[in-house]
Amino acid sequence: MRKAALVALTLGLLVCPAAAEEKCQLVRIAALDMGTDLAHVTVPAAIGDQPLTMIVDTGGVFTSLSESKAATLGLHPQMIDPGSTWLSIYGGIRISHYASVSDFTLGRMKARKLDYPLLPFGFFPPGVDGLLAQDFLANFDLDFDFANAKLNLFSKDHCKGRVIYWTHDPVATIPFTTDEVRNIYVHVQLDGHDVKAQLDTGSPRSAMSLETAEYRYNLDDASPLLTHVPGPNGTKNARHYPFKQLLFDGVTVANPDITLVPDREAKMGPYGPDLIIGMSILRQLHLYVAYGEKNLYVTAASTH
Amino acid sequence: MRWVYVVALYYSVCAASAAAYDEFMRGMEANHANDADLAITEFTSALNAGDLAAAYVPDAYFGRASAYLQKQRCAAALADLDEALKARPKFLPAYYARANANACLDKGDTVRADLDKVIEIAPTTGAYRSRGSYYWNHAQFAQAADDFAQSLKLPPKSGFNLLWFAISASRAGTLDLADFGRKVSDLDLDDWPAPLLDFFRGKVTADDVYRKAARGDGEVPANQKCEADFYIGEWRLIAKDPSAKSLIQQAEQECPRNFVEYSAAHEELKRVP
Repeated sequence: MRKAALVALTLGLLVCPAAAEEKCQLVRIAALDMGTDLAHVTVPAAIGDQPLTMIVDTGGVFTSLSESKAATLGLHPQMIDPGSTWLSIYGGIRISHYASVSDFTLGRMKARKLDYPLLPFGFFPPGVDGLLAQDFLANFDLDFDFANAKLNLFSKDHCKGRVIYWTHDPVATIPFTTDEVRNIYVHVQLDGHDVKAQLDTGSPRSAMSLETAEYRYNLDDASPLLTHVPGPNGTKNARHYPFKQLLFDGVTVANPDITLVPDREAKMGPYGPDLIIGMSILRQLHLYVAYGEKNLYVTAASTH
Repeated sequence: MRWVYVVALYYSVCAASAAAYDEFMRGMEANHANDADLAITEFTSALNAGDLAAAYVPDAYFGRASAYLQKQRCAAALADLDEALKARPKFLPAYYARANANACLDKGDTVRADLDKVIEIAPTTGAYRSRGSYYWNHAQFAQAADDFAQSLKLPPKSGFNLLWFAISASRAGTLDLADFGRKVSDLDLDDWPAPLLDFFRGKVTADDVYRKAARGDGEVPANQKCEADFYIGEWRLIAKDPSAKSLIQQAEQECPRNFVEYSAAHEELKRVP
């Protein structure tokens, strides 16, 4: 009996490190080719045998489909309960219908039957059929490998910090927080000032509150460095300021292109981020979003 | 020794890949900053590296073509756009750019072929508006009116499309003012260019339009003034009003080069005696 216990203990000692090592392995669940729209991250998906192009939107709340694609696929739109939180989204666009889909696939994954809000015509760029939002994305670790045009989805079940597979060079590790809709917030340094930033792959450009920029960087409307530019989503009175560098811990983005939008037009509210980091900046990075440990791992896009 | 060679080769391949993406991104940035020379250099390096991710190769050709177009190197742009479209046959911006390159090379029929292709791939309001503008610039007003009428059937609704429909159908002799009034009402537009639509309907004067055009921040009043000059000039041209030409000349001088009203004014002035 004693001998048996000893054998078991020995086996346990032998097995446990192996299991731990196995758990430390990154498990890739999907490797998706990024699409051709450089202003967004798009990936292929399908409903049944019908292909879809989906935007990957880390600033999005609900995974959704376009009304026009739903019509093409013969889905049956149903009215949303008027009391639902789905009723309106960014820009005040009202959502009135959803569709139930039972055979949505992404890579080798197949989703159970779910209800997808339907977004109206004109919400998506041409050729895009829907968006994958945080309700879906936060179930995985997201690996944005822009240099190779790949989005990898990894299991969140791994040892803390054991995610750096693409380089032996130093990697910036930045803790992030999320809000109730799982938006991702990090602290970065913009021209020497700490700013709270949201990572938003659904935003082609990066934007900051004009008033915040004027206060933090001691600018005023008359500054010759503040030039008028067309604003995102049709906003007027947007400005551009030649920021020098955006620092993600040790990783620098030089001359970040950031549009300054007046608060009354941006309507981000008093608790919103100082900065929304969109695709114009994110494309210059390799980003690994480890949701389980709430860390963002960053290198330059071409680091290998 | 052999191991050293293998390792060295591995790193040189990786470096090329990294450099290709960096150069590609620098090319994108250069185009964004209107630095065409730098964009051409960077995109050329990215393409020559040979291992830019395949997904970006059409964009690199397109990016370089855009820079060539800015430099008026239209034949070089055309060659790049052919490559971009060979690699990505549904690359809509490349069709528009190739239409511009062919226009620059005075190949009118091929311009229209690309605009037809855009409508075939994605029959959007923008696609019809683009081909309508092509027809209008070539004084084919009936076809222009048909395309602008199509654009009005598709979302998003635009007051400018209705203005273009009106000036095209008027020139073709087919504008039904009652129908036009219904279309304006359906649009239910409060903001600019609503005053111009009201002017076409005879509900306000040109002075009223200019007063409303002067409202707004930044460059908005200047841009609205150029638009007012163009559309009022066109409406007066249809009415054979002698003040029309000077208004269209003003529009050509005032409008930013990327405004459709600029190129339309430029084409119109070739036709107006």
